[in-house]
Amino acid sequence: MDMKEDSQVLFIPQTPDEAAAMKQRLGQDACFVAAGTFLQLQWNERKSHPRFIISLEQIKELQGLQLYDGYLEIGSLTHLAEMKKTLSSEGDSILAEAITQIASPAIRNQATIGGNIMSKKGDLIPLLLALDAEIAFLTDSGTFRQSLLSWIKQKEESLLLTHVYIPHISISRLEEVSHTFFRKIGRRESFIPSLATICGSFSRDIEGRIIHMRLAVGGGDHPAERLFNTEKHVIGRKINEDLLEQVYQSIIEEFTPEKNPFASAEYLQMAAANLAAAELQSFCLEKTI
Amino acid sequence: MLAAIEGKGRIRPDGLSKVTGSLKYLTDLSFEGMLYGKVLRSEHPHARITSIHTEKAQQLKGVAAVITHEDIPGLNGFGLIFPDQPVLCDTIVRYTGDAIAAVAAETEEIAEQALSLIEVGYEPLAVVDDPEKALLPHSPKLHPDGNLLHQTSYIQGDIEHAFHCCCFLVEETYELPRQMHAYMETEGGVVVPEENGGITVFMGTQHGYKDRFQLSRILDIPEERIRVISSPMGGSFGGKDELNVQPHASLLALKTGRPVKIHQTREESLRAGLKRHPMKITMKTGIDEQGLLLAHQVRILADTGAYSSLGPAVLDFAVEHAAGPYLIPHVKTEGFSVFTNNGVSGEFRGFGGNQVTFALESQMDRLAELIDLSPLEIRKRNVRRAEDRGPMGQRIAPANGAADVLESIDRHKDEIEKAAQPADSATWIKRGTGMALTMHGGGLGYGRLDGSGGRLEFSREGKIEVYFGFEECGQGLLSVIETIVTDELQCAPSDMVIVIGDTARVPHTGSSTASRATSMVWNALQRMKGEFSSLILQLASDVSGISVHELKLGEGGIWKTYADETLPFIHYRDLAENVFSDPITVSTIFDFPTTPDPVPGGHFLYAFAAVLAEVEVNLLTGKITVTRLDQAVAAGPVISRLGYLGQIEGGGVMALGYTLMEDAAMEEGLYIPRNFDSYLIPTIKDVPLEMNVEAIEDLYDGDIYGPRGVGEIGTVAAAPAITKAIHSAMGHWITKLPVSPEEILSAVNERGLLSWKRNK
Repeated sequence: MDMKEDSQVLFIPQTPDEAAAMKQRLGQDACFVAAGTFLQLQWNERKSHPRFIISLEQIKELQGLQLYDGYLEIGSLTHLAEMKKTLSSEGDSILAEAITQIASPAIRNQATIGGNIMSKKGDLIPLLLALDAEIAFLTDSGTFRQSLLSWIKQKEESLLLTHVYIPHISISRLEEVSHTFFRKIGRRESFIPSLATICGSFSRDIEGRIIHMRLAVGGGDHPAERLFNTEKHVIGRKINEDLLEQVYQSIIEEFTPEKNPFASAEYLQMAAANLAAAELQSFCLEKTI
Repeated sequence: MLAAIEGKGRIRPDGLSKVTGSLKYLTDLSFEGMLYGKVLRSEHPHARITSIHTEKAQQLKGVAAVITHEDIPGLNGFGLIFPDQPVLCDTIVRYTGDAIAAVAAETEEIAEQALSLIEVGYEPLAVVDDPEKALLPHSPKLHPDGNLLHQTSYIQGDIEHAFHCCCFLVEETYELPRQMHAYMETEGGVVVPEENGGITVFMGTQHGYKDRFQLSRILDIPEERIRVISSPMGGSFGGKDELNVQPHASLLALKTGRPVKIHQTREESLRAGLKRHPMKITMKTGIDEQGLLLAHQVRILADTGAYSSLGPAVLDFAVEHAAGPYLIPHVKTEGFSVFTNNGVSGEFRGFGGNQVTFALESQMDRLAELIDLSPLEIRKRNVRRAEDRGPMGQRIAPANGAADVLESIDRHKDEIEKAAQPADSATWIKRGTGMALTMHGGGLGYGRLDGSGGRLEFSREGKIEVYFGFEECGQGLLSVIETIVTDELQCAPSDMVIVIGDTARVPHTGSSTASRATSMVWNALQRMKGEFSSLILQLASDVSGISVHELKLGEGGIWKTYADETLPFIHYRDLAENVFSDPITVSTIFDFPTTPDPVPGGHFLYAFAAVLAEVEVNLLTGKITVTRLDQAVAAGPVISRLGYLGQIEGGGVMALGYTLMEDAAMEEGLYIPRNFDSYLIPTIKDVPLEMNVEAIEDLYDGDIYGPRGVGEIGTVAAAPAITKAIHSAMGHWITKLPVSPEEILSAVNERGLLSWKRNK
């Protein structure tokens, strides 16, 4: 094997354990690669590549979806196109709908949910936050499961992501009083990075009070996050025009994206707040604007 | 009459190989012993070069040659009008696309590495990044004659007096972005050194002979020793008419004695390549109480970037079209094309017409609103009649196209209105429609060398060989030639061989530019068909003893005029066996028709288009979706139905991109977008599901000029139709492209269109 300083070395493990062991042995110079659709762009930008590449594409046991009682388990190496196909046939439309807005068909055929999450910039992360997703990593002492919310606050991660778990909403809550949405703001209709993404999940009781609410944002260089203040402000209250105004204002205060050459922070705040307010209004008021 | 043209819907000759990807483009070619070239471009938008050291690069294993300005035997400059762009800079760099050195190496990677070993010393100079500032007296001078590349004007009547007589006036400044051609195939190809000291250049261009001329001047070798093979190419849209990497590959091939391939990456192409001129256009336009245009004052400021290219001609075109298809007694148009340290602007489909049409049509809609006329009515009242003079008072070929396309697009508007669903009040979508009108000159214009021609040969193999110096750049030229020749000579496609894009074989027929190729092919055939047919029929008569009057050309060979037979009387192949001397050859040389009036750059043949756009405005995000784009085009007979449709629909989509998302924006002389991930062009998801094209094929009585080209007109008037549709939807006038969702959202807020933002 040519081990010159500037040459790259590719490893192709067959199992999760093998992959995790390789990463531990090779350390910081090594990088897990699933499809490479995101990393390729990063490498191109920086004009440098990691020395050791651990390709995960042969690891079949981390591919596929399983529906268990109360939650959905998704293997980290499941391709987005495959996810969409399976979820559409299961009738779970919000994840499927979100996937159709990621990149292009050719990329979705290769890209994996694991890559989407581990990039920390994936379009799905805000939605998964709104859905209270959990993720599992392979460690020396077995699998370690944690909420996605706690993980995104952590620094760079060197463990192997194995699964994503999503509580199955439609089983636990009544369809007609809950609503989930995914709204991505990009500069064109498709095949476009997100400038900002806002996602939410909410339920109301018979009297119209919001009893459950998750609101999450991400996109661009903005790390995905939950909008806890806005959520707290809404829970337990009935939606009316006044509250909508407050929700709009609260999101603007809580979501603080960086400006970029193509959009100002103010625009992204306004657009995200409008999208969330419109979703809430449609959900609760069924009134015109 | 035109429906009789057969084969309108036929599949283009190069269609299958293009859609299956089997076609070899010139950038796909490889030769034995071929080297790979790379060009080192400037790190700074404006700097003095203090030193260039290439020694380390030359010592790198696998590097065959490194060249700098010292290696240029002839003129170190190129440019279609003034050769002021250095092939390799020696003392000053004026934009980040400026080339300083080039390398040929065994692999692309080695060439890339070699570039990083070339040491260039720079002394950065103040960057002139704004044409307005460039004209200030204290601004650094980018060229010996200063920063004003070209200034032109058109004055008619007494504008100042006329403004006093107007009932309504609109004055506004419009800003147009720097659009990229975004051809699929980036610039490049291979240059092969020949034994006679010359070269063969396999690189796409819109005018092989012009490349040959420019290269001859740079390389200091006679034109005859340079052969340019230039078709097919994967798109150009005006962007490859100028030289790009041909000089660098040629110099490297001659220096190394080996074939050299250069194929720019998208990043390199974006950085070095031409763009559409950004323009700032101020218009003051006035009407009387009847809505008749009285006075129109225009100031055009074009950012031509670091070098001339076709900047002067683009400005002339914009000035000419500033009053468009309207009759205005008092006009004063002034144009300035200004050097800056921004990317070089040059030829681009529409050629200055798109920018000025956006401004003009926006003015018309504003005036209509002021006087409470419909957009259609104000245009009808002011539009030129068939025999009126052209926009600079010059005589032009009479045409009723402007009125015809207006009438046609009005029918489309009725359709939309009848089909319109009542607005769904529970959504945050507002719908609107808008229309726009334009006229667009074809050919290079009065006072410019605009020769054309063609050649027909009956070969020894019995083929009708058709020679034109035009290029196939995706526009469907082969289909046009095939249709016209089979229509005029009644032969079958399989009887003919089309030869284009090779200076060793084709005649001088001018550039494939300015919507001229279709028109010139048709005109050439009109001039050649009689003589060519006669010569072949005479041969057939000599061979058979049958009178020429009883013979005619047809599919497969010569047919008897009177007999009802299923096969030709003599096959072309058999007839060719009787050609004992030189092959039968007929050629023609003529000029693109121009106005008899001495108006520099003034056009004679115009095409007309009206566009209807329907949009949806998303009040939550400010995003615009074009849901329908219809175009009515009057450009004479349709030659190739699919080609025509492709040009107009494709042009419309290109204009949609221009209107809504495309901007190669620059900051202090540096491009903000660097690739297609940040320079956006529409994808199929941005394209309206409904697009309709209506061709008005009638020519004015006595018109002998035949079909006009439609290569550009589909791009010209879509932008103002789309922005008017936005205005109809939510009452906001757009003055700057591409439309900013941010601006729309501010307008939504100002108007209190969202309940949670009302009265805020």
